[in-house]
Amino acid sequence: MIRKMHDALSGLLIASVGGLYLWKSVTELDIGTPFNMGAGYLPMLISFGLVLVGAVISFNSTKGTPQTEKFANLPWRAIVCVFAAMLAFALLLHQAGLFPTVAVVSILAGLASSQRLIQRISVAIGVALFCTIIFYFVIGLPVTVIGNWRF
Amino acid sequence: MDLVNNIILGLQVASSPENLLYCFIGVLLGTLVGVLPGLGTLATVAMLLPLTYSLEPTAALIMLAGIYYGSQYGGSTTAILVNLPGEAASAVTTLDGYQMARAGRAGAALAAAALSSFFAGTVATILIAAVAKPLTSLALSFGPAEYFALTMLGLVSAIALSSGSVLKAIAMALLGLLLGLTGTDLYTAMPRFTFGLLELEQGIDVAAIAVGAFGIAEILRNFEGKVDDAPQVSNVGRLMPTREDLRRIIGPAIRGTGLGSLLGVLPGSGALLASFMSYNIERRLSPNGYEFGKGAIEGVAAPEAANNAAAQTSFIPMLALGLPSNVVMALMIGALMIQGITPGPNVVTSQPGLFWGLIASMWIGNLMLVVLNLPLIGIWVRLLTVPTWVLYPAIVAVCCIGVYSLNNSTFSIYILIASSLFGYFATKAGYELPPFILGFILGPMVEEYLRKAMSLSGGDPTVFLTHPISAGLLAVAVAVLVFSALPKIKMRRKEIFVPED
Repeated sequence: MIRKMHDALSGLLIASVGGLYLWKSVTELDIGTPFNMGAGYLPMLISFGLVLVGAVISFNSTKGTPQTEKFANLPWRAIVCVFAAMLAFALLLHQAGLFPTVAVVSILAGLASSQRLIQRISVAIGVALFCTIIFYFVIGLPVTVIGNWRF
Repeated sequence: MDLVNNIILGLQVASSPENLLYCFIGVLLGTLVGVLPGLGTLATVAMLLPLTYSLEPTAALIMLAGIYYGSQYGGSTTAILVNLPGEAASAVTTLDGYQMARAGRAGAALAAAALSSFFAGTVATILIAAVAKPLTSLALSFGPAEYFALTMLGLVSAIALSSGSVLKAIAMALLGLLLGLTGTDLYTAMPRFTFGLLELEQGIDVAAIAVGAFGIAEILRNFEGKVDDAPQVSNVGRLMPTREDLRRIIGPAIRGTGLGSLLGVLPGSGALLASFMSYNIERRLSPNGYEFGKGAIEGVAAPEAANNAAAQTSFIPMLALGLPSNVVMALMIGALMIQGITPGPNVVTSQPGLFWGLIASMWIGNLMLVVLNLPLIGIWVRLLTVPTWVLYPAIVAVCCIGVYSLNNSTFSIYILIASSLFGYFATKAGYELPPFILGFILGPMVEEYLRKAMSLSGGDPTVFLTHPISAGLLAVAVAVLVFSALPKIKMRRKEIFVPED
């Protein structure tokens, strides 16, 4: 039945996003007239189009040649590690300061590949040092190097 | 002559110590990041985009342009020395460039690439200078209806030229448009789609999206398959090409330049197409055609010239019309808009220093590439040996800091995270990103022109058809869309448009 799962799901997702924005355009914003377009006019048209396209893509997933291997070998470890690294940056920067935050980011991102602990630590320190020198001392980014650790 | 005066003005602006410095930094950084295997031109430009925000518009654009062709040069360096194309456009250079490197002639290949690129850059700069004024005069007679049609044509071209399914490209374009409209509506001052978040009321920062969708997503893609450590780098050897070499690269460089200049102006991946086509054409035309694939220096000179020419002439639609012909131009438009400059034909008259200064600095940047980067090749080679487990954490950290610095807000990081995941999974599911970014950048413009046109016509939608230029552009857009959806063309598109690796 569904030959291409990623198409079915993505099509549905797109249609839902379109639906959400369509709903918001119509209820929250002023539509106006073609002569005097309100804030919601064009978004309404576009999100309607999105719903249509999403539905068609989803529908088309029942036709054509099946494709399932595409998603078989995703680098999940890397995805999780890089995601965690960026999240850590957002959460830690203000409280921990630039140097510790970058070190943590480095370690988390580095977990995506296998290496010895000593390599991880030296890279973390090296990158943190590099970033602190370039971004704090040279460029003058308004951050603290070591934060106040008040969470 | 007016042209000469403008060029002189441009040179004056471009050779101010500040602008020279930023040009140099841009070229240097661009080459530095472009050299890294696994990071293409787009990823490089996207990742370095935040750095230009704090600069003046002229300096920012000069630096961005420098990053652009610097990264292309870096990409071809990697292609020649390591047989790893940083992106699809350098793939052609690996064919003969790497073979030359294996035969100990890497230096000559690198020199050929640099010299042909410089030649192409010079010619392209002159072309831009010559064409810009007449084109902008034409564009100044455009009204909102014509501009709307132009933006539609740009979007449709991006859709038509993406290598996936047309439907998915349309979806991405629409999604981009919608997200581009996030923020505060200029006309009615109403917040749109901000989901109650104060940070979204200024709109979503294009740089945060670009770094995530093109930079981080590229890193994630590099983790697919085997991740090996430092690749084998060939010896550089003699840098100076022989007289025979120089004689052989003249023809290909000229032909490549001609082809690239034409293709760069057309919307779509001009540089990619230009390098492929140039290689094939040169192979057929050259008396040494049989050598292609085994280390013919023409096989390096032609695509490199075409590549650079296309990259430079792709500035023309952006500068003259305010319309991006590829994703990098879209990002530049985004950068300009953040600076408060709306690119379009008015820029020539309202900001002649910016306009002509940029054009002049493109030539200066090309010169810098030849004069400075060739001797620095040793450093680039050293960079290539840095293992990925050092590089990737550093890149992730720098991207985070860069995006944070846009608004000194950690909220931008959340946008970064979302767009990285979006960029990665979308391309995995067969959705191409260029239509999305173009839609995102063009969104507010499309709305403005649509509103103005409708307002002027009294709510009459046929105004787009009654204005001849607008009707013509829309007709071309429709034709392009229909054409690209036809099954026969679909197959050809799959052949020609190699997806970004």
